[in-house]
Amino acid sequence: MTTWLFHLTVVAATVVLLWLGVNWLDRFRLIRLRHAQTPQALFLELCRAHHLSRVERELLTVISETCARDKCCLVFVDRQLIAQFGGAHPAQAEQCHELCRRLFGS
Amino acid sequence: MVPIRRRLVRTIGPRVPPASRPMSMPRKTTFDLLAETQNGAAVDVLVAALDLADPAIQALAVEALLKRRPTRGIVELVRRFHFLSGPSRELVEKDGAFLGRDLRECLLSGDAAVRNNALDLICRFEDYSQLPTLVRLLEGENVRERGAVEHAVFKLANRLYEHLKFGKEGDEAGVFLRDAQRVRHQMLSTLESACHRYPVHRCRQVIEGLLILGDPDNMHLKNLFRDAAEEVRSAAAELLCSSRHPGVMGLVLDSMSQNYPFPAAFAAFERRTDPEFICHLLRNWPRKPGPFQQKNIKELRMAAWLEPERNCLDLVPAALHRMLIAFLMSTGLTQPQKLEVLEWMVHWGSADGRLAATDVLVDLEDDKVQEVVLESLESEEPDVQAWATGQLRTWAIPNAMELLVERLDSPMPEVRQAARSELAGFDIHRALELCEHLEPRLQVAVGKLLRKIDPQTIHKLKEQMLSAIRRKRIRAARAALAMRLHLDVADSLMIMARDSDNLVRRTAAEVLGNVGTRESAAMLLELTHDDSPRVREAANAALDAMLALRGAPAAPGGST
Repeated sequence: MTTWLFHLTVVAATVVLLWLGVNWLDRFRLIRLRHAQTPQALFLELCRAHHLSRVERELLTVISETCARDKCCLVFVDRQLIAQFGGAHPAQAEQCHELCRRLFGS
Repeated sequence: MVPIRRRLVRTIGPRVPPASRPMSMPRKTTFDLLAETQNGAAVDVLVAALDLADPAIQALAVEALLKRRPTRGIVELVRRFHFLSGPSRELVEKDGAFLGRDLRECLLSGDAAVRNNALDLICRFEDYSQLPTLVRLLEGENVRERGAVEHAVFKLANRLYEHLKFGKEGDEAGVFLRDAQRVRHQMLSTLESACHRYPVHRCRQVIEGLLILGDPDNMHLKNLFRDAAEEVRSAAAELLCSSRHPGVMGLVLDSMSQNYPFPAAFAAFERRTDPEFICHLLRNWPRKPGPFQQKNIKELRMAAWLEPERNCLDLVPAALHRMLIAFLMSTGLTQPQKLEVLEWMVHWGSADGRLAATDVLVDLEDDKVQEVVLESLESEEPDVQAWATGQLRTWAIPNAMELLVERLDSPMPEVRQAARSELAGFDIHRALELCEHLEPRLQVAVGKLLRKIDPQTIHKLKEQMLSAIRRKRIRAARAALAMRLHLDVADSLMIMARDSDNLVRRTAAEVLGNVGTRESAAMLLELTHDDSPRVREAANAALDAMLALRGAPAAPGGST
């Protein structure tokens, strides 16, 4: 019983340490990404500034992929990109409309 | 390719509740972040936003770029300046004064569109600090926008001149240049250095700028005329003789107030014939020149524009003719040269100019003026004929009085007025003195003449008839009768008829007998009961004469 408990504790501690390590590394990577002088980092900053939800961010990321890689932030200044995407994908038209409203107002 | 989507979605923080989301002005949120973020990629986004059709987005991008001030972004902004919407341009113009460093980069860029737009903006913003860069550009080889750069140099000098000359008056509120003198000093220093390198850049606008902003006392200008190479000085002298900028023309004039004026300024006085210079000179030449001005202008032995055969005098506005004569007489031109101009003025000048010229010609006793006066008497121009009428007595023209009297009946009011002015010395006072010594026929003619010369004759005659001095009252009443003016002074005669002096009453009775109105008859009847037997006698005689003249009593209320 004692041996089993000991092994359980070691495994649990290892799992916790592993989780903490991965989490710390991810956080560190995120911080680096935010401070990187890249369009992607700017994209993140803009998403945070607009308090976009995960779904909205996902959609916006998909839309930004229609542009060149280094122009992913254009979706924040050109509403036509979102509108065109909504036109091409009727299933997401409603979400695109809501996203436009969030980023550009009425 | 690793999908960017997966990485981004994973790395972003927790979802924010909808209630706390910033719903108002989301676009402003975007552009505020783009303006403030440390991320250099924001500049690319802002530049891309400049090309969008939405004017509001464009304006926000411009605002963010101006706030952020990245050189690359500003260069792109300048490149697109003429394609921006109105509000975006206004933003650039509002903040333009702070773009100095960036505009310098634009000037030095190899892109023609950027450079041209930068030159345009430098002129709009009056960015005087760009002058050294502009000069550097001029000194470079194969500068395609050379004309635009030269224009910018001239425009900056001109704008600063306007600030210095007109100050607050010439500017709208807000664009008044507070430190204009400091800017002028810096510009003069730069321009002088650039002038010494004239053989390199060959830009006359640089020299012209120095002449526009300089004054005869200025050190930089003195250095130019003293130390510069012969070629540079020649170019400067040539500009003094040809530039139509008020600053350069002012420099030519101001130089004359110096003890040692620029020799080139003398050359300009001698050679220039353009109407701009002539008008500037005559408008600004002082009424009372200073001692140096007098001394210097006396040294002027020729002036091309003052030669009548060159037809430059025709270009002088009539309002400046009088000033022209004053200037002419202050020069050192020879007597025949001056006479030529004066005679031109008498022939063709304005009324003012003719008078000024005539005043001078009287002293010079020029006989040619008599011919001009006689010719001008037949002129169809009222001003010319009026001037000639005014000159009849001055120049002792034969039959001057007869001609003057004729012109009292001229259909032209100006001529009538001129004749009246000339004959003004012959008024009622003079006529009263002479009247007793004239033949009756002449007395009547004098009465008519007086009324033409002076419309106030009757009024003045009445004043004499009511004078405090008895002799004057009696003389005026008798003269009124002699000159056949008694009907117009009947009311004064009625007052005289009630005078305390019996001699005055008697004179009034004698004259009233010739008036022949019911009122005068009534007054004569009243005088038949006067205390003085001489007055009663005169009144009775006047009544008898009146009745004899009419053959019946006077009609009630009317003149007989």
